[in-house]
Amino acid sequence: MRAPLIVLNLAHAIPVLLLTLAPGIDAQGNSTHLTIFDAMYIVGYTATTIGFGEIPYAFSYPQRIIVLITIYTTVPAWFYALGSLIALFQEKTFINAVKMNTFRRKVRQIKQDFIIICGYTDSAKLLIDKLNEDNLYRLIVIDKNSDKIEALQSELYMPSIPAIAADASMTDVLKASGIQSPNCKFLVTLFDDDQLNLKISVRARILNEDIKIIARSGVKHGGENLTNIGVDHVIDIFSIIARRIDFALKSPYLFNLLNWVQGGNLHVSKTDILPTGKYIVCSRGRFGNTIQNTLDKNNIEYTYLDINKEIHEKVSSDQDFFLQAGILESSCIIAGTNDDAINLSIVATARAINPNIFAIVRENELEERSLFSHLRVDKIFVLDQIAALDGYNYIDRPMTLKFIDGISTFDKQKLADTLLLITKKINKRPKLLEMTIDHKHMYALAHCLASCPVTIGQILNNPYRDGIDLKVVILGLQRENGEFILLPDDNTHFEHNDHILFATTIPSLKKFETIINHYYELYYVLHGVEARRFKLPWIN
Amino acid sequence: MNSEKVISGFFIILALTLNFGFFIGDIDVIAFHSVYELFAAIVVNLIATIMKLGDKTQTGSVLLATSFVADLQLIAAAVVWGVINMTSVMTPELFTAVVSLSGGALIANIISVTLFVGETLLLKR
Repeated sequence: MRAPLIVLNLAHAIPVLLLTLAPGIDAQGNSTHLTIFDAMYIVGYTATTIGFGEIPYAFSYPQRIIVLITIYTTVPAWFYALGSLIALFQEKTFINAVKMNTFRRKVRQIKQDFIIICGYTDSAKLLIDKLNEDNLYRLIVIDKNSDKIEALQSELYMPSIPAIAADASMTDVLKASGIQSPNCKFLVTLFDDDQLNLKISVRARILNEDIKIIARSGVKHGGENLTNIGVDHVIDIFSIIARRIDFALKSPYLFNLLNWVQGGNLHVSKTDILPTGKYIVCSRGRFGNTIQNTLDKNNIEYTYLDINKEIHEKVSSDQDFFLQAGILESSCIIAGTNDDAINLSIVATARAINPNIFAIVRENELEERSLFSHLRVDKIFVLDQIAALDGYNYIDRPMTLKFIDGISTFDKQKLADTLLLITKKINKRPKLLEMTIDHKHMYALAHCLASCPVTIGQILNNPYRDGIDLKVVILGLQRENGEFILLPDDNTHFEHNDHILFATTIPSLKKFETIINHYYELYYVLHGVEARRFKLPWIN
Repeated sequence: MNSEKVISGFFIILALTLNFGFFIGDIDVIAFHSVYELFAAIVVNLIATIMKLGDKTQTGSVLLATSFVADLQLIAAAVVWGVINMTSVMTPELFTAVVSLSGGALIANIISVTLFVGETLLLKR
């Protein structure tokens, strides 16, 4: 504090001194010097950046004294007031109040349907990316950690995502996020903490009866308690993984279709075919139980190793432990503990003893990806990714769930045919989309359907009479009354307000969208001739 | 050697010497008393005051008080001089007031330096 005061003192004193020493010339041409008072006066109004003129006449000395006193009292008074104001603006509670208000206003301004996402976790990040890509809903994010909120804001999503650093389990915060708005359609809570998800879900249900609540069930408990309090969709990662293993044991094609729907490639590779020999399951708790049930159901022989940290530390260097478990005769090992380091070491040890063993790994943290792929693990289940994609499918593509339920009853041959149908017509990485036949999404088709029936084949097969089919496969069609048609054939009629789930490529999607949204294009596709302008049958 | 002590000692003693330099000479003769010396005395006294800020000891408080007294008296002397210059003509009688005010400040500065030196002598380091 001393240095600035001394600087201030000298910054006044030295100019005053210099001004009195520097010679000047008066009106008569005589050499003059400023008096010390004059110099002080000049420095006074210059140093305080006032630099005013003496209006309307030059001041007398008594006036100047008063001006100097005024300057040295009002300037500090200003700084004092401004300083207090600036301190107020920097105060945390005030900033939070302002942020909360801004957030409320942003939420109120959203006129589209929106989703509230509680917790900006790794899985939430993936979910936001996917949802943002489809852009069917606006998103709102709540997270207690302000660093995470800042990270979100620096991602520069378009359209913008209003976010607030607050406790999502508080009723006020949920209200501020617009949970009571009729536009709020979903609430997603993706915390790793079961209790927190439960708390948020209960409050959300009380605040709004109509929204759909999606909650992630944690490591310890299943989703029963969440379902009881009115959660519409529980993301239970363990049962999703168990289901995938179940599907893979039944048919690699079924597994592959499920995997594709949940974000993978549509291509049956060697690692999709699970061995049917003896299994070793290294896990504990609920994940272990779920896997055991699945293996029991499929009549697979297995050894269950209940591995936790202490046991692992004891046996980590001891290959005998695995030899006793019969690793040499086993064909598959599932490393499913909640610690990635242990999982890695299990796979490494198992591979060292039995290089041909099929390794399935549970990956708890997204960052470990490179390590696991380095080990060339046959199957990796990334918990966060699975949770995100399950939530995404439920929100943006609810028909995928029905599709998977539908095809899981197919026999092996039919599954293979289905997969080939898609890969042959499109490619090995088709996009999966859902659309509604209404005026908003299929303008021309919706109008046309009012007067003349249209079948799927009419639009998809050879639309431009050049022998090229659209690369679109309709996987499912849901009527307005809820009737679901799995893999509708070419003679199925479109009806108004149908939901369709289809696989396609981006160029074909653009063509498809052109056809279903333009009268003249659609007329040509249906009839093979150009329509005469303004003479379309469905326009009066 | 403590550089902070050197600097504050320098200013405290310089404040005294400049003050003495202004005060010395016939009390009613303007020629003996330079306005620049008064100006320098005020500036250096203010710096000495700032140097004494923040010392929480008993001696430190008294040192600061002496500095305030010296500042007050010197500034009063300068104001009296300036006001007389602006409003009327300086006479030996009026000038006596200016110099005697600075004399008061000189006493305060002497106390200040005495305390400063005394405190330093008490230190056994």
